[in-house]
Amino acid sequence: MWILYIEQDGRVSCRRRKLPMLSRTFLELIAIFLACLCLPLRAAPDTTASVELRSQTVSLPYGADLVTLSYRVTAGQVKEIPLVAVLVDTLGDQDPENDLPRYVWILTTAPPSVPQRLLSLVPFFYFSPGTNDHPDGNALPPFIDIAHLDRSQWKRISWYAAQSFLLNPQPWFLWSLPAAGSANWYEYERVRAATGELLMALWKNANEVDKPLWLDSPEWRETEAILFGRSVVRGYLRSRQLQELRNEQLRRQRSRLARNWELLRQRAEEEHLFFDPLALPSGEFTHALLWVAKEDVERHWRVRPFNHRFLNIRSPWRDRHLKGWQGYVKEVETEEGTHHLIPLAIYGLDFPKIPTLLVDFRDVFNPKKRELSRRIKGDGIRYALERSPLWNGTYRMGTWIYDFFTGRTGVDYNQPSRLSTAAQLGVLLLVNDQLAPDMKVLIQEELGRLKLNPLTLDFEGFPRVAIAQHAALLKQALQGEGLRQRLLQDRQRDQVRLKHGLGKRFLFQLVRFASLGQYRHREPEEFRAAYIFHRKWRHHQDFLREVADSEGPLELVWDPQRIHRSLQFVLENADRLPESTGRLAQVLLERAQTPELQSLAHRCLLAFRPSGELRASGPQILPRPPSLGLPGQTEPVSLPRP
Amino acid sequence: MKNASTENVRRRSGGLLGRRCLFIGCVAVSLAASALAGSQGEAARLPWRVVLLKFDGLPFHLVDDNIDRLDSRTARRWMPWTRHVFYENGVRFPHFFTRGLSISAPAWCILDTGRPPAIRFSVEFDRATGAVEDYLNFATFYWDMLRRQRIYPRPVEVLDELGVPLFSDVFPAERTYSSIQLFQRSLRWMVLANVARRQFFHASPREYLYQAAGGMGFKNAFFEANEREFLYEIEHSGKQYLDFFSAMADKNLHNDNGPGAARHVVEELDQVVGRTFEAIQKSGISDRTILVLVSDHGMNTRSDRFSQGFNLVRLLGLPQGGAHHVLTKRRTLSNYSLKILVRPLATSVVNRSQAGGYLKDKPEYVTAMLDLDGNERASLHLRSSHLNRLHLVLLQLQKKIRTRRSPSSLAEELRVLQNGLEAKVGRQLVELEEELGNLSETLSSLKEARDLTPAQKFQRDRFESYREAYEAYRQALSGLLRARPEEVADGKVSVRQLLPPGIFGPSNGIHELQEYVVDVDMEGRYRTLDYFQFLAGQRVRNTRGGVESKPVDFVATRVPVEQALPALQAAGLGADEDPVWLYASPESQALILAQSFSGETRLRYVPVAQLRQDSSGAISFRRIPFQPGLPLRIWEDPDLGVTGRREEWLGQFHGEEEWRWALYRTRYSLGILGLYEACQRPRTLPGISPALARFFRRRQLHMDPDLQIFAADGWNFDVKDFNPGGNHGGFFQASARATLMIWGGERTGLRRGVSIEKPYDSLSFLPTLVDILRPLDGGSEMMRRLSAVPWAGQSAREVLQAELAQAPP
Ligand SMILES: [Zn+2]
Repeated sequence: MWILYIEQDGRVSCRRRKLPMLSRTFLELIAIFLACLCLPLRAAPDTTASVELRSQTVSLPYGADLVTLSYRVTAGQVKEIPLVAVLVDTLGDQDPENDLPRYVWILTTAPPSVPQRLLSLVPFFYFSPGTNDHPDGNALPPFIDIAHLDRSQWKRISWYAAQSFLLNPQPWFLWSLPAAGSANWYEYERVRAATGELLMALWKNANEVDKPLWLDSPEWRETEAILFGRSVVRGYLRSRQLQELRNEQLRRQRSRLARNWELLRQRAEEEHLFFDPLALPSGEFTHALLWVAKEDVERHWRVRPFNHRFLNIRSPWRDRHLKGWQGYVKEVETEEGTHHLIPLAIYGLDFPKIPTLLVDFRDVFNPKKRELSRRIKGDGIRYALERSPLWNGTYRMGTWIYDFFTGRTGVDYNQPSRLSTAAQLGVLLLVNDQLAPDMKVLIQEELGRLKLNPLTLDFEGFPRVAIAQHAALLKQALQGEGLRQRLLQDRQRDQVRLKHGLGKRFLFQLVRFASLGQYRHREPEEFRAAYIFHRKWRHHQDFLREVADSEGPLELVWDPQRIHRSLQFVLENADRLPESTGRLAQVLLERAQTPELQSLAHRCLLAFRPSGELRASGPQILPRPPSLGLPGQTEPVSLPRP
Repeated sequence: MKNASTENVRRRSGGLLGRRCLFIGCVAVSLAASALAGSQGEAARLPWRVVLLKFDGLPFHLVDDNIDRLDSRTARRWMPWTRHVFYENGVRFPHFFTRGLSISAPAWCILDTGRPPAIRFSVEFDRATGAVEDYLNFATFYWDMLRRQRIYPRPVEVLDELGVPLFSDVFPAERTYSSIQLFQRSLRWMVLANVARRQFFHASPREYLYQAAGGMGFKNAFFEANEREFLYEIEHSGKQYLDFFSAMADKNLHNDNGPGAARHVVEELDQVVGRTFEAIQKSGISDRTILVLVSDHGMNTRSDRFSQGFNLVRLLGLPQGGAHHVLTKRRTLSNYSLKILVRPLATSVVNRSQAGGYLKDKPEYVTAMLDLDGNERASLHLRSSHLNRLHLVLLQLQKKIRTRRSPSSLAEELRVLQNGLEAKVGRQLVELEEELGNLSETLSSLKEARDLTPAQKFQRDRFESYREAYEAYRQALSGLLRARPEEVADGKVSVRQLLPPGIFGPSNGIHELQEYVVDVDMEGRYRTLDYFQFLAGQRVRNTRGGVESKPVDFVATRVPVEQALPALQAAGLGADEDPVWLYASPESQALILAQSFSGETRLRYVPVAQLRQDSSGAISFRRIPFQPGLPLRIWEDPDLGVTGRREEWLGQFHGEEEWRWALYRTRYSLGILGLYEACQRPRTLPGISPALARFFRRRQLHMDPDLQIFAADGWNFDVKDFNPGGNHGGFFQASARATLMIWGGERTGLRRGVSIEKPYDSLSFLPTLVDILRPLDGGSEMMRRLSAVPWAGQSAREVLQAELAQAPP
């Protein structure tokens, strides 16, 4: 149980205490109430801004933890802003090994308001009316619902099919609204995913926060691969393939960031500018600022040539605006002396080939027109389809050639949407402590102008939205019924899946459909224990399968202690486990080299069937025996070696 | 040895051409290949077998730092196999250094031949003909193979011309298996066919989905197909020499300094080690097999900083850099270029200067050539400053450049310059005429000969092209020496005829590099540049991660001993080979002196300042005391392994071994030895025949760069792309420390679980292998030949168990 303490200096801190269950819930309610009140607490003025990431856990009475990652800024005042919350299903026990993250909320983004949704249907409408600042807590849908990961994919596929086969043959006024709406919605989802990805990466790489076990679990990595992979087929790959893809994707992303970092640094150097990469607390550079020294503007005035390749901004050496600059200035000391730096532009680094302009401090319209060109081109295709095949073909050919040349040479008119990166910059501004507060406000204002999608978010509103949503979420989790119901339903669903085959499950759905949703099949409460056991088994089974699938002698490749632990679980529960586990034990026996592991695996195997023969079908509770492609799977298993 | 290699050439080429077929056909053949496998019985008859895993650019520290790492979740080891095979049951060399520059072509050349590098750079440039030798370019090699214009990769052709055999040449063709790499005699079409099969045909629908979602790419398919064939050969064939080459580590570590990339590299490596080891266990002769993991160099990749690029090509093209049109092997920012799509196989590119100057709009007049390979160092050829002056005088005589100088003074200067050139190249041209005569004779005998092997035919064609290019060079320079001012002024001969583009002429001496002529002003005065000061004086504003603002660490060049000797003697020093001069700043310089003491060359490091050469060739410098900040920073290095007072030790000449022990833990590793190796005059090599040896040596001399530029820690000179990961080429520990690990079966007598603390360099690689294999051999012809080779390096006999190690060789 976490208790909030208000310390003498005005800081809020959390400490864990073990308390009886009853008083726990009560105290929690009070604590949360207090926490919500105290968040914008004032403290002694502090000149240096420091940012600290923290994670807080609130145990929910129905066997789950609500874990929140938040950051604390000390810059004049202490602010604690929640960023992301995860509901972890602990099944009410203390064993972290069977913990399962179920829902994730990105607190800095709010669901779009009704006017936003309506405007998103208007074709060629590239403005945003502003975000919904006061979201309704009860309706706060999770950003990730692990149980229904494939749902959004199915939605996308079926929407695409409907659009191509049903809507497109109709006259344009019938399909243009839904088409515009879906394009906007798709982009909005990607922006949210990008924000979520950044936040989760923040969590994973933060040094000061302890990382829960599930952040590194195969399930979570699969989830990330599906969610952040931006590919429809990912839901149908094997776990290991997914994890490999995820690793590959992370490597590529990192190399993209690094290359663009270096590209921009070199270009800044060549043009005599100052390069200032912006880092996440984990040290990862995702954005970069360019500055110009006021002294250099004087010195190179109208003399120095300026090559705008990859920088995409106007020459600072001919800009009267800069000569008489009155705006924000940063003073730095270098080997050459004191420089007064004027901000020029901000770039996003996570782009395929070149850094992409997000903010041009001297030309508001510059990034916006680049982003617009992309959108108009995309929307144009949609409308071109309506015209003659000739016009359609020409248009497509034209855009293809355009795309090829701009893509190859690295022209910033053809980058993927910069809205995602802009949203990431919004998050970065929150947690970054190298920028001065004035500068942050300046950037937020500029970013606000990039809202070309009616559904997009307000960057200035981030902290406000996050605090409001977090409070609403806590309320919902502790008092409301919605979340509790949802969790229980998901557990039920897993249990049903566990117990019944595909045919029966289909039947249940049919009955539910026929009864207009009144009937829903439920498993009795006793089944819960079996379910908890099942999750434990999954944990060990997954590990043993990984071991069995690996190449080489087991003791060499794996920590034998870890194998022992899982085999011990198998040995103790052999009578309840399916033959697939038995087969794994057999594979392990065949491959083990040390007597200890051999004897343990042997005992496991004997525990399955004293005769040494595995039962033909598994215990009823366990579905989907994993196909291992291992020897001995199809043939009857013989007695193990003595 | 030489005869043997030509024999092999003949046999192999026949087999290879016979196997040439359409790609699709290859797929079919490769499918059938598994049925036509050799039997295990063949392998059983072998007295021993050597299996090499060659990983380009695998730094030792990467393996060593991660050898005990476990996955945080599953507790799976990152490198179980490497640990088991090499750390627990084999021998590892924690101080195994690349000899000379840590770049691929020379480094593999040493490992594959066991001699000092006959190929000295990864890109070489011929000052006489303007030709670029790009030894790392696989694409042109395959293209030429397909067009039947080539049979061996370019580096192997060059080695053959220089008369240097490969280690694998000792083995009969049917007993060797080499995978695709720089120094190879065979081309594995089958592998390529299998790559295609792996890439486009999958076992299950899920595999297709995986591919579609961005799974295994072409590079992986290539790697896998290669590996599969290699493993198959180990298990089922009677091959005695097998090697597997992978550039995976080099590629990944250049690109990415993240922990993910490092882990990916070591895990991939470990799996290859594991599968190879298991294949060896199944081969039936594991007891007399040795498995070697070796790399050519390391990599300066660090996760806490990005490697930063400094663009020398751009710098030399700027007005203050000399406004050179610069020749490089790859296009600047080739990833962003459209032109590369038009000429994908170009081996050289002219980077046109946008600055003005007398060569404005004449990009064919390339006056600088940069080899940036490895990226942590660069070698620079500049057109002879003397030729630049001649060029300027000719242009002035023809009034293409207008200055206030009178025609008579120009005519006078032309004569002076002609005399100067005559003194520099006159004798060379006479000798060259003779050499070309020899070449023509060889050519005519080759033309008359019937039944030439394909390899010989290609050699004949190459000789023909050398002859033509060098003849053109000879005639051009002779014409230039004979040109009369009146003729030039009349416009009877064009400047282009007298001084054709592409000719760089004789190397620049120190004086020419200190007063390098880049242009002329209205008064007819030359604008000159001191390239030492210019390059080493560069500063950069935008650096991060603790990388210093001086991108060029130091510049190195050779000083001809005859020019240096008077000044050396005046300073109480001596040398009998060319000293190497290191320049970090006007006040921070050093000379590496070499003197032979009863047959052994010993080196000495002498700090100096203000070294200059005047126009008469006289060199002057000031000796300065040892102090921090000198090139290579040995004085202040806490790890300098010297007992007693440092001044005393450093004030004397020391042999190679002594230096190795003193330096091997220092920041710049064996930098002094490496610089001496890299800056030496090319050695005299046997050549194809005595009559041609001098010509090929001349060619090598023409390929000697004027300057070698070394990047400061964390900097690189790459221009074709961005290398934020890391780089290599210099002498920093991380770049120069390569990997060498050996495992041997029971009968090989190799020690187990041993770390050899003595520092070695890559010259020791082959002699050590031969010493390990010799006791296993029953006195075969092959071993007799290997034993007869006078290996240049020291063998690490301590890898063998005591009784074997003490046995006389
Ligand atoms: Zn490399």
